[in-house]
Amino acid sequence: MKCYIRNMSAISPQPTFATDSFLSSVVVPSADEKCLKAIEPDYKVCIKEAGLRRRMSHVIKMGVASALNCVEGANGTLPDAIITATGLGCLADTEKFLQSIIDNDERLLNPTSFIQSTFNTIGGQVALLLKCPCYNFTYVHRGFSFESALLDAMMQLEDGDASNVLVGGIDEVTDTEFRVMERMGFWRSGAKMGEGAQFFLLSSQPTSQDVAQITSLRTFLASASDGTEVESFLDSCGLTIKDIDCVLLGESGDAKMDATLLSWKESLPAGKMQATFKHLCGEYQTASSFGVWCAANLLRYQTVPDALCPVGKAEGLRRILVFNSYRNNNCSLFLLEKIDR
Amino acid sequence: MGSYVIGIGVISAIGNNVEENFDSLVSKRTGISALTHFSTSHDVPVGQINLTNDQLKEMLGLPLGKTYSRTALLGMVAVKEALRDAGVDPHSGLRIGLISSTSAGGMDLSENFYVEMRNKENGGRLRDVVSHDCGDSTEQIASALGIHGFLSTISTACSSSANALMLADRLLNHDQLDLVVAGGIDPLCKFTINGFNSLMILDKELCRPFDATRAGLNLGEAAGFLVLQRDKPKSGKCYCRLAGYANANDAYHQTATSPNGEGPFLAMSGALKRAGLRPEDVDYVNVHGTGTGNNDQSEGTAMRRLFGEKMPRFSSTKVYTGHTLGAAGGIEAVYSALAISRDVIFPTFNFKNRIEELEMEPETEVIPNAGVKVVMSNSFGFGGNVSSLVFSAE
Repeated sequence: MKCYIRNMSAISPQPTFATDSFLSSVVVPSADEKCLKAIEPDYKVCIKEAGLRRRMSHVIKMGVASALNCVEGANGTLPDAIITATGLGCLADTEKFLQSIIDNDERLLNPTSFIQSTFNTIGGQVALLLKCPCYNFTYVHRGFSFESALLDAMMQLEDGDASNVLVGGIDEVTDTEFRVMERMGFWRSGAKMGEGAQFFLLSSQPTSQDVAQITSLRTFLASASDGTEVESFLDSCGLTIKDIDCVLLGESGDAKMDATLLSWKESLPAGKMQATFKHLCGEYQTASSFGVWCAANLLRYQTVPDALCPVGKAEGLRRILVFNSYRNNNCSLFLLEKIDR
Repeated sequence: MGSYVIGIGVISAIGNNVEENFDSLVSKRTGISALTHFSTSHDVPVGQINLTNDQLKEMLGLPLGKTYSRTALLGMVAVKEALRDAGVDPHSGLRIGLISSTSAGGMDLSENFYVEMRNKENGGRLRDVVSHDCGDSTEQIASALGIHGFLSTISTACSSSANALMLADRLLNHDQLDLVVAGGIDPLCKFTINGFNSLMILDKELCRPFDATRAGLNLGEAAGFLVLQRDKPKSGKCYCRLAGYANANDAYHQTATSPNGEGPFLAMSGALKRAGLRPEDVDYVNVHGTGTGNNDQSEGTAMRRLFGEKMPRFSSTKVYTGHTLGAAGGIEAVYSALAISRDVIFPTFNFKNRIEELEMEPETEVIPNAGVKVVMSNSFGFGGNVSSLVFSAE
């Protein structure tokens, strides 16, 4: 069920947007910074209509800019399916509308924030701006959101229902969410919150400019795990852990919340190359999309930047396994491979 | 191609299970009435399920002291019924997935949390906000009913659960799962009532879909789920086949559909094409038919484009349930399955005045022995998301 990454785009807490470098310089948060905010590009460049741009909230701008940039960089290949993923959607607009209900005692409310609060707002806006009347889905399932979107895209490509699919994972941090998570003790054990918008233009047919190949993915619940998921996933791809050159881990930094991932990591053969990505993007529901962005770049640039904290050695980078975990609940595995030219 | 519907479950304003819903549908009995579950300053009728959260917990055998979003509770009732109807034991070793959908998620609880948090620095109970995200209800349902396979949740406003059924079929075709339970849920909450009120599309009377005098929609709450499998069952129940479907984006406006019905036309014609059927094969259309000026005009125009002079019988069941948003595609898929398996068409019983430029009228009486073999079910939503499903007799 493989597909090819024609182009990709990332707005993240790191300088990842519209650049040819791959994490050569990174923003390292201090120990007491509990939240990694995205570095926002000059939105005027991507979203030209001033009125539209003004109405868009932070998360919509991030998502739309990342999506448009991804499509533009693919030499004008328009998607025939647009699939977005978000854990919490347009939180700021949701809160704004809730606040207006209270402030105005339910009377004469401005509908704009309500309209923009729906989870499919970004997907709808991207369709409007690209004028794509095609398949348009939004997945909203915690740490399975981006995974569902990617699985859907890969099935559509294999079925021939689409030739080019735009897939993205988007989430934002708001002050209210931050305070609620603080009360829940989210980062007491070392995790940091994060945000970002990663988009991928995926194709069923290879071209000479593809970044990497996504071979397969699988999701499982930590609560139902028997510890054999990675082995059986690799087995379904005709591989064993020996065939993997680098394992890219989505550790949040909270050992309790990473328990399933960490326990599998213990079983890795000595010297197997490992790297991590979540300290760069923070923890959020669709953070795995940043992991996939990193994995694809590892294959493209054939080098592991120090920012990903590599341990161990690899002969070359042909196959990367991404293991992500969200709150020790949603676990996901992605296999990406280098494209031979 | 196309998976088989082997179980159905529904809870809505017209009944707490499939039989109660069916009975109301063929008795022309609406569930639209005054809102009593919570207070709002808007005097609008709704399709409310007349069970409190505690009554739902009792029905499900859940501890009364534990907090669940209404979304999760309604979903559990419908999923439980669908699994039982299909005769499926979740512990049988089959690969069972749950694809749910919702537009409000756990908003019924978190909107109250938000008020308390605003009033006081550390106000609000955290247990009322942990279920805010849409994935929570799906995981609560899966955990309560012992489903440990693939889980996902979709939120594309009012087309959400039609889309859940599409993903279900795709997963079955790719042999990712043996059985999928798919559908959607939405509870009534202050957030959506105020949202739709701010758009000025709530009718203060019973909604009048496809009527020239229509003045907006009634909101409702519901959950509707279907159990699907790839192959035709050798024995046991089989309601119908999900023969085709299509999803498109109108790409016209963030909330309104285009006057020429471009998106709805693409979805309906795409669904028929996938099913390998022609427009004249359709016996009944369960229209989206919300009763807003914009939706019915756009949907009707698209139907006219697709069906030409040979307009099939059609009706909107939203006069019974209200518009149940993310659940609409799910409960209307259940009604479509019943229309085929029991060979009956449910009426838009209060229709009176034809929209002149459309020259089409919904059915106003129950039609038994209607020869229903192919049903189209439409769901359109915000963000331009439009979906059509086509069900056919086995």
